[in-house]
Amino acid sequence: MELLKKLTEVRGVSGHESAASAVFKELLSEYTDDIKTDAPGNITGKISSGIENAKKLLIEAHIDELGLMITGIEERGFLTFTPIGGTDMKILPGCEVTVHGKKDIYGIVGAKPPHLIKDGEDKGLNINIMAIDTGIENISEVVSVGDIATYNAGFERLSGDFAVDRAFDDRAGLAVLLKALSMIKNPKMDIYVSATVGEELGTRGARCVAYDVNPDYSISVDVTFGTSEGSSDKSFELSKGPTICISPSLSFDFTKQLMALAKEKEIPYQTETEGGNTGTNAWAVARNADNCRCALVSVPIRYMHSTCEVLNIKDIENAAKLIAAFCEEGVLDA
Amino acid sequence: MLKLLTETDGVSGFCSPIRKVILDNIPSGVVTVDALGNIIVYKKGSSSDKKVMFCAHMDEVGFMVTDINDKGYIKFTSCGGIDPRVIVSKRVRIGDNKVPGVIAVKAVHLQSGDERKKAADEEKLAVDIGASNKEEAEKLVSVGDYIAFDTEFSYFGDDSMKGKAFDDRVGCACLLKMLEKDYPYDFYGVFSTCEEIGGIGARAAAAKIKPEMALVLEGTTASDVYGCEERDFVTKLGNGVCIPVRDRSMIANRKMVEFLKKCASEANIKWQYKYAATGGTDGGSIHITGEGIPTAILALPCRYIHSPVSVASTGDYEAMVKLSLIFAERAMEII
Repeated sequence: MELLKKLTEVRGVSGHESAASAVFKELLSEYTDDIKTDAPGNITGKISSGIENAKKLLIEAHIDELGLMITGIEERGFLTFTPIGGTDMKILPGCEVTVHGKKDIYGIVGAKPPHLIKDGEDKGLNINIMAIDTGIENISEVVSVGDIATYNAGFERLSGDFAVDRAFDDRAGLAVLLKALSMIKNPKMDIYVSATVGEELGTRGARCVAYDVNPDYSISVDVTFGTSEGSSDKSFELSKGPTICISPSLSFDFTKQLMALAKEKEIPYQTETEGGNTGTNAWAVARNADNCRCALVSVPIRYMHSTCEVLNIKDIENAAKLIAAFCEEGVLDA
Repeated sequence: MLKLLTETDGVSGFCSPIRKVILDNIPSGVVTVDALGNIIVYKKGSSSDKKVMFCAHMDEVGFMVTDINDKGYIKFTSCGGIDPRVIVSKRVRIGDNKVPGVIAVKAVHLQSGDERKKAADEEKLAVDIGASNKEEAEKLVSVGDYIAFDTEFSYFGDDSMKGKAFDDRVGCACLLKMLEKDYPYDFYGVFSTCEEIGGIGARAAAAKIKPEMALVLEGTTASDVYGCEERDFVTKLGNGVCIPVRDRSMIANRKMVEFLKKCASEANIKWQYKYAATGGTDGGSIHITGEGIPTAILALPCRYIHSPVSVASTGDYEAMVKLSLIFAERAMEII
């Protein structure tokens, strides 16, 4: 829980990840000094196995989160905005945010009151009737078009092993990576651990990491849909283990191996299927490394892309156990 | 004081937490709590036995648990009018144990095109407290528990403050200030219950007190937000305390309205009308109690009223406190 809290406390909207990356880098430095930051801002650390001609394993999760970008400065301290990443407009009215101008400014997303919405007009989910209320008359002196706003809703423990935060997608994945590192004693492969940028805008950072590391194996750790009230069949129960995804865009062999390993080590997991693009960094890695077997492990979270993403800590622990086990067992087919 | 009052819960019908905080902070007077939970503070007049009632309601809009389903999700109904658009993805706490939860809606990716475009249907929303099933949820929450928004109070911007329950903890804060002083007439300070569901508490208090005159201290709506035209603003933040002539529930007593305006202009206090006859207050039930009671309202303009987070101007609030104090001092002039 502490690790999750640390990882989620700092904001990092796509394209503006540096503060969040710094926190990850510090946490990663506990395990390696060999850390590099590339041009897009991906942080990658290497943990050597000490074995000659060791295979390279990339484990990665994305560090960016959703947010808003200011598009206009209006009268009486209101700022118009556009969402960064796939945002549910329903979460916006009444949402408390921080606008990162010349200094951090508190704001609330206000929407036109329902009784003033004319017949035929959209009833509240159109960002054209929303603006961030800053209460600052001369807001143009501190905020410019193009500045970023982030959601204020933070980490909170719910009952039992559940917790809520605005950015578990994908700080939960980063927590899995760091937790796994804490469990690994004798790696059989050289491990490259990466916090990648720009996933929410099209898996951008992961492409460069895949190209740069050019791993033999890669495990992307992201989040997947958790079962919740009214969710579809395409969702997974929380606390029943991470999902391992079967998809033609991933390596069937590697996926099966992970599943067999989970069974052997009695680590609970759920099977997810995806006909093509998994919509995660695993797609980007598969398309940018030369000879890599990719797998995708996901933590189920409820209410993805809202400011109240809910997860169960056990799923993070089990995902970490699985990855640690793979690092220690090594590859069978080698 | 505003921080303490707004961060304390008191959903309509569940006023115990806020009542305790108010009782702990009443500076002087004879305090009673009646059958409906109203706090009535009586201060004997120094020279007259005329009675004036000042009323602010303790309760705030919120929700009540109606069902806990098999999967451990909590279904709810609103207590007071809440725009369902503003509650999605907001943090709440349930009951006196303050069990944390979130009002959630399924992931945007799993919504149909139609669902994505429309505001969430309140019936489809549920509170998630992180319980794995009904049995686990029932250990923490019971049907009938209240659900309150979890919002911190703070100052921001040039002159703004934000928090939950400004309607009507601003009135409560104002009334607590008024209770620090003594008056020539019998002063009745009423912290009423159940305003948000129909002015139930205030009516009973007025019937018991039978005052010569009543002033209601309230929060009112301000629509001076982006996307609205000036004629629809109702009130505007920064333009001073609001002296409504009428709202949905009453027409304010003319003599009192004129006197409030006079007091304001003589003391150079900024005030504004309410430019729409919307919203109701405790005045609606007080003014037709018994043989009828001359009643007027002083209200603080609040943006996003009845939502998890309201915004008001600190300048307007100061104007409200100042004008209500002056009115209370000079009230004998119009009795």
